This record gives sequence, structure tokens and C-alpha cells, in this order.
Amino acid sequence: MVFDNLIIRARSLSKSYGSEDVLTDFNIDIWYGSIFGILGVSGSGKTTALRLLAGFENPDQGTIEMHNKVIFDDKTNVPPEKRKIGMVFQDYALFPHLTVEKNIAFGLSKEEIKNGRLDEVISMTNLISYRKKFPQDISGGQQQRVALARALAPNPEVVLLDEPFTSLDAQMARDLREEVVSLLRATKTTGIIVTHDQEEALSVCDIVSVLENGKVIQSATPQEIYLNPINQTVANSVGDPNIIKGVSTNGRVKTSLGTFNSAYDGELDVSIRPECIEVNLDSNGDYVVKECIFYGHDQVISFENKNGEIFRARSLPSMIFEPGDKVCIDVTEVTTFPSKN
Amino acid sequence: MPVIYMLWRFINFSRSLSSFFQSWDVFGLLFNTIAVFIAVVISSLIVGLLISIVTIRFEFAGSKILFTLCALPLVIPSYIGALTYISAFSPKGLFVQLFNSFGLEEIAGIDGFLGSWLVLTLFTYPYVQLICSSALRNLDSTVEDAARSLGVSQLKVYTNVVIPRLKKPIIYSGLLVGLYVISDFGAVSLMRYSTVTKAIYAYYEFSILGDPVIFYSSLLIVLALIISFVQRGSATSRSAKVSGTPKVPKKIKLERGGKMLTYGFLGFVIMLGLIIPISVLSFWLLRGIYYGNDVSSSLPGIFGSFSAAIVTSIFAIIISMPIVILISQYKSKFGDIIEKLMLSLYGLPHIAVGVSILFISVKIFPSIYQSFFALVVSYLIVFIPQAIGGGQASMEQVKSSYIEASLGLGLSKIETFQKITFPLIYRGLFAGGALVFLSTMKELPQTLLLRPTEFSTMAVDVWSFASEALFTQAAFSAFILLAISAIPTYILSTRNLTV
Repeated sequence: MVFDNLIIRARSLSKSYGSEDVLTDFNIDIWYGSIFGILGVSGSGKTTALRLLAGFENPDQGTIEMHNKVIFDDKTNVPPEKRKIGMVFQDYALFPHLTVEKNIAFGLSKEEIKNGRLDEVISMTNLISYRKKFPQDISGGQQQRVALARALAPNPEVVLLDEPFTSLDAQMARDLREEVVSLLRATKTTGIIVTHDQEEALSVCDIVSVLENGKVIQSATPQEIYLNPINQTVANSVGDPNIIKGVSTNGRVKTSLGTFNSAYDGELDVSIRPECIEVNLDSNGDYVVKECIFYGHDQVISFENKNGEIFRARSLPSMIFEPGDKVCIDVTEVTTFPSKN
Repeated sequence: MPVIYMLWRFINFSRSLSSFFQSWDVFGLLFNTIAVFIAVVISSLIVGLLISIVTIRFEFAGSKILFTLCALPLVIPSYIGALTYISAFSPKGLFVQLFNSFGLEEIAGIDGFLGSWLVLTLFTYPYVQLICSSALRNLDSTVEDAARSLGVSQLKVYTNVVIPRLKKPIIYSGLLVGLYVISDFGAVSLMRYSTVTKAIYAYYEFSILGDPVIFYSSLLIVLALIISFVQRGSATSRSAKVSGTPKVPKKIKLERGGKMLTYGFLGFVIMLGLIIPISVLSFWLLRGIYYGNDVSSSLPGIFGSFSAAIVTSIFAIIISMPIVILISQYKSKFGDIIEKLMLSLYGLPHIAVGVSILFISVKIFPSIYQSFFALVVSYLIVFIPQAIGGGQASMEQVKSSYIEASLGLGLSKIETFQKITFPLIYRGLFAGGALVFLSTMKELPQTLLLRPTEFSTMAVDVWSFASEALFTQAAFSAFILLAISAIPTYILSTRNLTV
């Protein structure tokens, strides 16, 4: 997908609560019509970032622009109700005293309702049979739909979604995720999804920003993030790699899983994803299977070398491994980072 | 404010303190007050706890209805309760008249300490019952099973495990009862038992703002503040103890003898707390009607009660609304201070608040002396915490994300208040206002001190007729008061006292 217009540009945002810095020098560019993911562990500041964009809280410093117009800086502060940014809350925040229908109609004018906008949104989100029910009487998945419908109804240019699928079970989350994305695409709405779930961020978003300690450390397409993580934190946040310490000389680093090319010299961390290790049964192999966890679509094999170090590999489910089996390995891809300490 | 003013006056007494202690019976009054305080707290705790345990943990037919009947005396104001007992069990009272044909001519009579103790116990144990039963229901019984498995007998589980775990609600409800007892004026005055409150009123009648009035009011406030301070300490952790879904204990099956004992006990309590007062009251009412009493003499009181209650509750709602929002939205020091301030109003003895307003109206704003305005202000001071409590409970369901969602959808702050905050809290506010309405209607000591001349309420009528032993007259107003207030009071108070 090609994006050529910026809709939101945030520069040097910072926010602290008391002595605790939640965001420091936070920069972000969001393309019009894209689905943008903010990925980070809890406490990384991702929800705060959303709240600053929505206007529920004010940055201590920095500027936010929307369509090249400043909506926040030292002098300007457009209040949340004027920003045309919709929000889907983590707990949905559906109004308990209003029916589904009235919740969705909440941000609409009488005229818009008369012109059929309400019915349009309700049928778009498949909520026709729930119109007259109260939020507490419908399932979690339906509540999520109502929350999205309510946010989309006034035709916002941007919808912020704060961990939108965490309170749903895995299957429901997957189904709804696709539905939400196609709705956002169909209405050409820019979506910003905050999540701690790497699968969610990678599968849904056009651009992913990885956040650590209140800073964006890498913003790129999911493929780029996954294949060329800029540092170990990013690598860890989008995969579950084996990290091996080594010392590189003349562009080669020797590790207990073999010798690899490296971009740097000196002490470094070699990161090898489990799926980049091919494991085969071999009675002369150097490694011994410790454990094998079967997931159906694949399996994770833990194996040990002579020094007792343990590594993980992921392989197709066809081959059967038992603890004690001897195996040989083939590493297909490695990434190296300068050592953290 | 009025309280501080009065305490300041107290410090500025002309006479030295030592002469007070010689000239008035300070120690006697204090002793009487503390004696009835201790006695009622202990007996209410025993009765209330027994009812809770028996109705919740024992299996017998009708336990739910008996629980409700036991809690009902809550709606009877102490002065009405006292009126029924004093009229029935005075030396030549109703009881003697009833059994005259069997040769009964005179009985020892119930009054003084004994009467106050009995009446105050009967009309305060429901607080213990409601608070402790709610805690008992939420108690996870796994610990009890553990104790049984370690070889502790069923009875000892109660004394060694259950009751110690109810320590917090027991202390909380016991002190609530205690606060009620030391502030009570209606029952002790009709029972002619000299406590601090009775002394305040007696000295007031002697000389409106004599030093003794100020002195005893201050003393009472200090006592009440100590009690409510201790009580609040136990209240903060009251709700924290409930964790997870409690395992519901198996109900204990009763043998024939046990069932008889249980029915006997509950029946006896209901007899004393409900059946006797209601029958005595009905008797006086019917006798009054038979001898030609009619509603006309009660009309001014009914009118007075209603007008005072309506005005007070409306103001209570209007004043409490911004306070509720302030407390919940600004979790800052400011909101905190307001909340603490409101909490400290709760539990102030009515008679002492009445005296301080009286003092201010006489010494500073003579124009409001004996005015309806001063009376309403005085009601508001003691009852506004009830209105705030109602609003606060419902304000808890207004999550901050609701407000944000509304703002995010483009509504202004005022529209958000109209469409989200108000619809969600108005029921709670009105429930609080309704409680203020009922409390105002039944209020006695403040009304006695501050009412404008010619102004009366049902509570004042009941009390004044009863103190002159005009029981048929008193019964009329008492009956109407109960008829109007009993059911809503029961519903609203049980809602507030249970978790």
C-alpha cells in the first residue's frame, strides 16, 4: 500500500507524572489512511501516547500537528471534542444508561441521524439485532463492535484503539481484528492501534512503532521490523530469539551454534530466531533434545549442547522428536547487535 | 464552623472550670451517659450478632422473613419506642390496666437507666444486625472448613474463627450504635434518665444560652468526635476484607430443640422490638379515635414536618451535587479535604449542632433567631452527608473513560454533564435526598431548640404530648409519621448499611 499524505505529525512530545518520565522525545509520523501500530510492553508509555494524541492529557512539551495544522504546542491546545479523533477504549467505556443504538448515535447530530448515518453504521457493524439492548446485556465481542461503531459514527479522520482486543478470547480477537481492519480500510479511516501483542501489530498494521521507556526506537513496516530489528529490544518484542554472546574479529563471530558473519567487531549479541534453526535427527549430532512442545501448526524443540546451554528451534510438525534424541542443526539466518553492556 | 465557634466560646468561659465541676453534677451526668453507652453497645452487639449468625448460618423455615422482621425496628424513632414502653409499662400503665382483673395493681415500671437501656437496645441492634450480616455473607468459609479439619468443634469455630474475623464490622457497628446512644435525646428524656443530652435541654429551658448549655454541648461534641474518629479507623478497612468469590458455607441443620430455641429467641426479639410498640401505639390510636380525637390537632405538625423536610432535602440535593462531583473528579487535596470535612459532620450530635446554631443566631445574626431558615441550615449541617453518600455511590459508576469517550465524540463539557454524568448520578442523588427527607421529618432535638414559635413537626408533637402523658394525642402523630416513613426508611437504610 502506498501512502503519500501525513495526517498526524508529533514532535518531541514529553510527559511525566511527578518524577516519573512516561514519554521522552516522542516522535511519530502517521500516514493518512494507514493502520499504525504502537507496540510496547506495559509501562512503555503507549497508552499515554494515545491519550496525548486524543487530547485527554496535555504533553509537557512538544507539538502535535494534524493535516499540517498545529493542534498542540506552547500556544495552541485544541480540546478533545474538537480534534475529530475517535477513540475505542480498552474497557470500551460504553455508556451503561444508554442502549446500543443510543451509544452509537451519541456523537451524531439530529440531522446526521435523520440522513441515515446511524442505520448505516449499525448495519456496517452487524449490530442490527442488538439496537435496543443495553451494553451490559451483550457479549464482549458485541460490546467491542458497539465501541467501534460509536467511534466511527461521526466520521472521524483518525480512530485510536487502546488494546482493543485484549479482553476477548483468542479466536474472537482474531476474527474481530480482521473485521475492524476491513472496516477502517473501507471507510478510509486512519487507525492507530496500541498493543502489547506482537502478532496483532505485525498482522494488522502497515507501519509499526516499537516503544521502549517512552521512546520510539524503530518505526517501519512489519517485515522490516521483523527482519531488520534495529536493536535487541525490537528483536525481542517481535519474536522470541535465542541470544548468544560472542566476540567478533574481522567480521566473523564464533558462537556455540556456529560461526557467523557480523556487522560489528568486538563484544556482541547474536540473535537467532527459533524458526531460523533447522533441526534434524542425526545419531552423530552434537546436540540432545531436552523437550518438545507440540502446538499443531508447528513445534518448539529445546535442545542442549555439550556445555549444557539450551536453545530453542521451531520446526514443522511432521518430524517427531523425543527427549534424548541426538540432532544436528542448520542456522539459516542470524542478526547481530552490539552487546548491551 | 458553628461547632468551632461554640468550642471557642467554651474556652472563653468567664467562670473557672473547677467551679463548674462543683456546681453541676458533671460526673454524675457523664457517668450516666457512659453507663448507658456501654450497656446498649454490648446488648445491641449480642442481639444483632446472634440474629445475623442464626438467620444466615442456620437452616430453618422462614429465616429470611424473620431476618427482615428483626431488622424492622430500625424505622421506629427512639422517642416513639420510648413512648410505647413508658405508656405500657409505667407502674400503673397499660399493662397493669390490662391485667387489672387478675388482681395486678402496680408494677415496678420501666424507666430511668433500665428503660433507656431497653428502648435504645431495641431500636439500635438492627444496625449491628445489618452491618454484621452483610459482612458474614461475604466471609469466605474455607477458613472455617480448615479449622474443622484441624479438630475444632462447630461451636468453637464460631467463637474462635468467625467472630474474630468479624472484628472490624463489629467494632464499626458497635460504635455506630454508641454514637446514636450518646446523641439520643428522645428516649432518655421520656425515660427521665439524666444524661448529657437531657441536661442540655433542661439547662436550655432554664436559660437559653447559659454556660451549662455551652459546656455540655461541647462535652458531647468531644465525646462524639472521639467515637466517630475511632469508628472511621475501623471503617476504612471494612470493605477491603472481601476477596474473590466467597465460598458459601453449608447451613447448619437444627435439631428439634435447636429450632425451638431459635424461633423462641427471634420471636422474643420481634415481640419486644416490633409487636409491643405497634400494638401499644394502635391501642392508643384507637382509644383516641373512640374518644373523639381527630387528625385536626396533628395537622400543623404534619404540615411542618413536610415543609421542613421538602425544603431541606431539595437544598441537600442542590448543595451535594457539586460536592459529589468535586470529590470524585478532583482526587486532589482539595477534594480530599471536602470529603473529610463532610465525614466529620456525620455523627455530630444533633442537639449540639442545634445549640451552636442557636448560639450564632442569638449572638451574631439576631434576625435569623427562631427562623425557618436557621432550622433548615441546622438540618442541612447534620444531614448533608447522607445526600452526599447517595451521590457518591452512584458517582463511582461514572468512569473517567465515559467522560473522555463523550468528549472524544465531540460533545462539550456541559453537554457531557447533561448526557452522561447527570443521568448516571441523579438516581443516587435523589435517593440521598429522600433519606434526608425522612431524617428531617423524624428529627427531634434540633427542631425543639430552633423551631419558630407556632411551628411544629410530627416529631415535636409526639414528644411533647408523650412528655405530658397525653398518649392518645401522641399516638396520632406517631402513627402518621411511621406510616409515611417506615417502608422507605427501611429500604434506604438497609441499602446503605449492607455491602
